[in-house]
Amino acid sequence: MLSLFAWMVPIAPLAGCIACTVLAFRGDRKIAHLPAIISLLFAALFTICLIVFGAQGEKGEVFSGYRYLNVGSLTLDISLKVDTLCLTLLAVVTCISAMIAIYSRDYMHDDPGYARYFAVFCGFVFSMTMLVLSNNLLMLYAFWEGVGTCSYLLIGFWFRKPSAARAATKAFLVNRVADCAFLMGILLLAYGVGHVESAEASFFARLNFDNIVKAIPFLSQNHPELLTTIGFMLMIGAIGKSAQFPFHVWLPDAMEGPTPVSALIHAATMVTAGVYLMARLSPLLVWTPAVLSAVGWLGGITAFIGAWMALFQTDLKRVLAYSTVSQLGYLFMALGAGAVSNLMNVAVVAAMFHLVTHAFFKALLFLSAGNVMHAMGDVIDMRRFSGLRKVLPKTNILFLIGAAALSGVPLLAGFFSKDGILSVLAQASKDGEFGGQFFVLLCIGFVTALMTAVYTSRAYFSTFLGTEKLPEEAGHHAHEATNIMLAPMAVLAVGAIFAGGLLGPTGAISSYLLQSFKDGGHAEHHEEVWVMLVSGVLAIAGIGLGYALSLKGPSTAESGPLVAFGDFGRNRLYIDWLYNVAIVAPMEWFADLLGWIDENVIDGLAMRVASLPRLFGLIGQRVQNGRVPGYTYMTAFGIAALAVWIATR
Amino acid sequence: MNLLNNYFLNSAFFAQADADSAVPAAVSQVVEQAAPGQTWSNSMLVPIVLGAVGYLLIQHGVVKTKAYFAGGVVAMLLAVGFALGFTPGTFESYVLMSFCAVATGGGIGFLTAREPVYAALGFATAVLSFCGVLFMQSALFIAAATMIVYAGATIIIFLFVLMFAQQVELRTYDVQLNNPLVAAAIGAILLATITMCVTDNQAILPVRADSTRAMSLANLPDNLSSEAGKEASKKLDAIDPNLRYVPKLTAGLGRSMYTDYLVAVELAGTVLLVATIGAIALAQRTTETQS
Amino acid sequence: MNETTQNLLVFGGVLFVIGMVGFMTRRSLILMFLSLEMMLSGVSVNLIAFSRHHQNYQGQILAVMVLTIAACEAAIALALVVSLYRRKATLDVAAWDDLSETLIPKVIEAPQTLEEPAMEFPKLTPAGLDPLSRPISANFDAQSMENGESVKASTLEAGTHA
Repeated sequence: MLSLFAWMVPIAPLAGCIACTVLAFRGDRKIAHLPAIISLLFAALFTICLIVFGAQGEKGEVFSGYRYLNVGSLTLDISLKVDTLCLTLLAVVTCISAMIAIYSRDYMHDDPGYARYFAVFCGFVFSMTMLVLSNNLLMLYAFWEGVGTCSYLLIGFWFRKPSAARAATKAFLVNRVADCAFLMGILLLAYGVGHVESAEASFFARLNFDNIVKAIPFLSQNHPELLTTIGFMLMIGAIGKSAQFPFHVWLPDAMEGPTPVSALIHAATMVTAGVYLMARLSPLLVWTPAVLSAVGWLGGITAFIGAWMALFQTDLKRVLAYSTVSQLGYLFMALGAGAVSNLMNVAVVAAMFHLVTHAFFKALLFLSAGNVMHAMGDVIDMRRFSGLRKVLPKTNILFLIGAAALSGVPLLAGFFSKDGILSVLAQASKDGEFGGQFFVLLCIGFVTALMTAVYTSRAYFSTFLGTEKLPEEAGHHAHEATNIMLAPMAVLAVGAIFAGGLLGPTGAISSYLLQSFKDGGHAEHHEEVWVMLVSGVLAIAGIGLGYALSLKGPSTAESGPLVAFGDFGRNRLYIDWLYNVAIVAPMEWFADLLGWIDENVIDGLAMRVASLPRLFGLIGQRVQNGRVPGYTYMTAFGIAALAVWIATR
Repeated sequence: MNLLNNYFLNSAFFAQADADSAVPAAVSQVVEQAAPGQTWSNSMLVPIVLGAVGYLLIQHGVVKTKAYFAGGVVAMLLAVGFALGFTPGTFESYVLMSFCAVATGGGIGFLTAREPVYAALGFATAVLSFCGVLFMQSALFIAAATMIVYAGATIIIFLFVLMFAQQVELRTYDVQLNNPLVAAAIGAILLATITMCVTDNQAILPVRADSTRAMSLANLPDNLSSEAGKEASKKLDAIDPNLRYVPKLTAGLGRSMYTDYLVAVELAGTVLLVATIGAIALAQRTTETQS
Repeated sequence: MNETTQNLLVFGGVLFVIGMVGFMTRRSLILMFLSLEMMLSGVSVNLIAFSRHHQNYQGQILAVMVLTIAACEAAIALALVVSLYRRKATLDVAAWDDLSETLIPKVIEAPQTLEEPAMEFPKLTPAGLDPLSRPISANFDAQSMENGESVKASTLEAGTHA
């Protein structure tokens, strides 16, 4: 029964994907949302069944289903591993995707690629569920690429728009760099696991998570440097997918896709795959504190610069995108705290907790931004509209809930989860070895929390409060969204309000998650009351500051270092510019060079070689010219030559 | 030459056939005739080259001036004279060679004539002389048939077509020939090679009485088994052992055709019938060509 | 090897080569087919010479076959020539190279105007009276003379009267 539930979770969206593809090819666009929504609801239902009925065992359960290939020693078993860690993320993925699919029904209703949209949407959910459920690191990698492909297709959904096509390519290429390292890490890991005496013969089976965990003590004793290398490689893969500091550039550009996609993929689910990977491999990472320390630093940097850049964006969706980058930095900061001994499990719990709550309120915020965009006629620049609380009263409330949760207003979801992360950091800062680092990170966390509150509240105030101003593109579109769009948002809003309070302080999520990590560290999570107080105060202060800023308007010129601060933020810290100058331009130059070589050297050579037969052909052309005298002469010549040959031999 | 020895005229094959045959060994003896053939000498090239030069000169002279023409005729005559120098000096061979010479002259006329009708007449001359050669070789039936078919039917019909297609003025394609120089060179080379092969006495086995088709009725007199027949054959053998076997009689040819080669002859007749039908079908004036 | 056989074989070769040269150089369809017949004759001579040489009928029978096939070929060829001639009203074999290589330019032949050798008439010594050098008699029949001369004569006559 449980096996059936587990298998139905990915199979339902796959069926939806196939049905939508068929509809896309048949041209029945109007009903394409039906298979998608139904299949995603089924997936969510089966996930909830799984959570309620089973998978309470210590290590979770493994359901092997389909033997994909069996050649010699190579056996590819597609099997699912169901434990509480995976179920947590699975619930988030399936529930939020179902909500967003319902929302998309009206949001996308006039698009010519309606069926295509839902086909790729279901394909994404299928890949994501398989990624979460897979029992094998290599299979995880396959679906890792699957979600990357679906993300590419959805960012470039309006592929006739040059900016969308560029953004899709950029996301794909940036991820490619990271995935390359990830794949190398996987292969190194398989190589390392192969050194264990009891290792499986099959290369593929070595990468099953259970086998990896079994092999880790041996590796950490005998090959610690190999383990560290593997850890760094896997970290690069994770930060690529999760848009951390060196690779964060693709995520804000990914907002070129449809807004529901931004909500689902680029805020709630796919970008958290990196966090999930780190959590899944935490038994390995426990042995490599250097990697976790680096993860912590990268998370801290990302959290800070994400917030910094979000402060100075004028595009509502980009504010949310940089906010996502910043919040993902929080998750990685929390994971980094696992460097301190015995804190790994607590760190994972804190990260997963924030992941869940963030999924709710960020999806809600994006969908609200989608409503605004829908009403404003695809205008998303905050300078061009304000005071929308009359025009969009319900969206106003929903956005307010999401913004408050993101800002960390006390008793909302974001408050508890962010507080959990900060508490973990505070705990880690007491450690001898890494204490200094985590103290710095804790300070960054507080500063970032303040900044988060500032930019979120500024976005809210400048959009919904103040004098009413509508862009001319809005026209008669300026109306509230339909109820079908608002209903899933309401569900998400409920999550954004109550998920934190229900899951966090009651210890529900930590006890649930820790079932998967029985043999890890046993440090208990201590609520640090002063952290809670400080973050609450910071949130309120940030909201006030944001209100003041929104009244002053963004164009106010400041003097001194603040100008430089603002310039840096507006120009995305010049990171994109630096990439362009340092990487893209030389590569383009190199590509031009190669193109020139291809065109002139290789093609030229090929043309020279090709002209040789033509030269021979010219000779043959004279002889074999299709005219009777030519043939008669050739025949006579041949006869004479044959006669001479016979006579003289 | 080895090629011919090995593949076409293998003596072992003949020996095996002799052993198999029911004809007494005396019949299949080797009958070498008196005069051995000529052997190759380089002077044989002279008439060939002269003939080629003569052809070219005549061809040139027909179009241009008569001096070339006269030179060509002289060269041809010289060539014929040279060639006669290589022939045995008997009356029969002179007659034979004069037929050959006339045939060659007709052929040259056919090659060089400016008017197609004259060319056809040259062809007719060549064929008639060739028939004379066949007569001398006791191939009477074939000579007659060739005369009727070529000189009679074919040439006449071709002449009809020529006249049907002929305009008053000369056509370019009748006068301007394709590379006569190259053609003459290739022809001379081929002829020289043929001559070289033919004058190799080892190439072709000496004359034998026919033993390969020992069961052929054509080779045996009707009444061989009777006393008279035996006597007759003895008489013939006394005169000339070859005489009995020389295929001289048209009746023998007919008997051989309708006994040994019956199927082939019937097939040839069928082919002739099919060709007749095909010619009628092809020459039919269809409505498409009219419009 | 009999010397006669040898000569006949060479003769067959000569006929064959003449036919071959004709087939190569001639451009008229009909003459090309006649050249083919000439080549077949050369082969027939060969066969008959060997028939005599080996003193059996095989060669002759093969020659009969050659004759038959030649007759068939002539019939078909004539039918083809006639239908081809109907299409283009020319017997030139070069007219039928529509499938030939297009990159090679066709040799465009200017229709050759053949110069007939200048007619040289014998120069005869003039005999009788030159009608123009002396006065014309009154009973001269002008109709029998050519037109221009009669006009000339009448003007002359008028001049003398004046």
